[in-house]
Amino acid sequence: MSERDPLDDLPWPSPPEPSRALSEKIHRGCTEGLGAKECTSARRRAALSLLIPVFTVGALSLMAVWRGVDDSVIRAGLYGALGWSVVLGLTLLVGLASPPGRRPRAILRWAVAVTVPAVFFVYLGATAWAREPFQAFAHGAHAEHAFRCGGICFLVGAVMSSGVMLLWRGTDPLTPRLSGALLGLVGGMGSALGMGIFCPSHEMWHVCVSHGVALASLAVLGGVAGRRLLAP
Amino acid sequence: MERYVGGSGEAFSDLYRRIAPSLMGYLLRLTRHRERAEDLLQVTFSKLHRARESYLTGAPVLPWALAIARRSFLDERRAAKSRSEDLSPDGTLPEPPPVPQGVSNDVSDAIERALDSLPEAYREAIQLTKISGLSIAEAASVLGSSETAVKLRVHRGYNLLRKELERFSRAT
Repeated sequence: MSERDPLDDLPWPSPPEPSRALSEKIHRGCTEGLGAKECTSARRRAALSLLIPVFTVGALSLMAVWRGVDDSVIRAGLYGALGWSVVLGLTLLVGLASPPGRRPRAILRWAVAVTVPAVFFVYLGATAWAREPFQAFAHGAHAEHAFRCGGICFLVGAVMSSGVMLLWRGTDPLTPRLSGALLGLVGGMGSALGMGIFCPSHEMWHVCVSHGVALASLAVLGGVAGRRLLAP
Repeated sequence: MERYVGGSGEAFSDLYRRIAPSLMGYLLRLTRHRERAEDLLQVTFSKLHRARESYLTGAPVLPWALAIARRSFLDERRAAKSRSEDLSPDGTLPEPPPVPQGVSNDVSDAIERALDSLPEAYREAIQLTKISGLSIAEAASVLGSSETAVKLRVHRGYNLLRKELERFSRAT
């Protein structure tokens, strides 16, 4: 049995009352013209956050159809997106679906923020069956295509991440960086999956660099932006 | 909090009564200056008011508000560091508020003084867990560190506090 610390019984100072004048000033500032607003639960916001990548993947799939991408390629891409949307849903469930202060431990949420992109890179590498030497990828038309595709992927992801960040704006004073990283991951992954259908390349360097790097960079940028956007 | 977001001024009064003393105590412990603590309390409530619709249903309010207060304090300290120090009318640097000297017979005073003598990290951890009544996990989330780190800070703070109070009991 553990021994009780005698300091536990100390007469700890009770918290001081703010001055009356200050209390009145704060009351006035916080209650004048107080309109009714609605609280949204974390679960509802998480569900809405999942809709944004789903919508983006859908839109990019339609554009792929319009571009004349082969049906079987689109179907395979959609199966992949479906599987990863489950992972994304679980990520949102673990990382953000409860209010701050009731979420799982930060270490677990950090593990999710690091592991999911890492596993996604492995997935991209494993599903790409064409392997060129890096020298061939890094020069000429391949490099130009990779640069253009990576740029689009990053921009689409950035727009999506900004959308989900706005949805969660000011909601997390406790772990804004971590929540920001998770939201960046949501946008980055939605974009990478959508681009996997819109730009059906099977070359390993291309998919890892052009589709994957956007995910990693958006997760990092989300962490940086989270401090400003997610903390009230 | 939800009733306050719903537009009830009465709910704000209840909320204020419940959390303002804890926030004030915490800010006073951080700043060790009543006026600065009051300014920061006002800033904290103003942020809380502006961000009220982003409050997520079910979130514990006190850690939420304490985290806002802490961030306000850190922002203010950062801004103060980048400002040039104001000189007193006689052209000298202003002195920090005097720390009461001598031995007090009151145990509460002794605890107050012992707490004030602790390094900031220990003082903050003890304030949050012992005085504001947060759990270790809640204090860790407010401080943005791990639970182990908070436990360690509380433990080390306790050791220093114990030494300080032993000195007090020998003196009296």
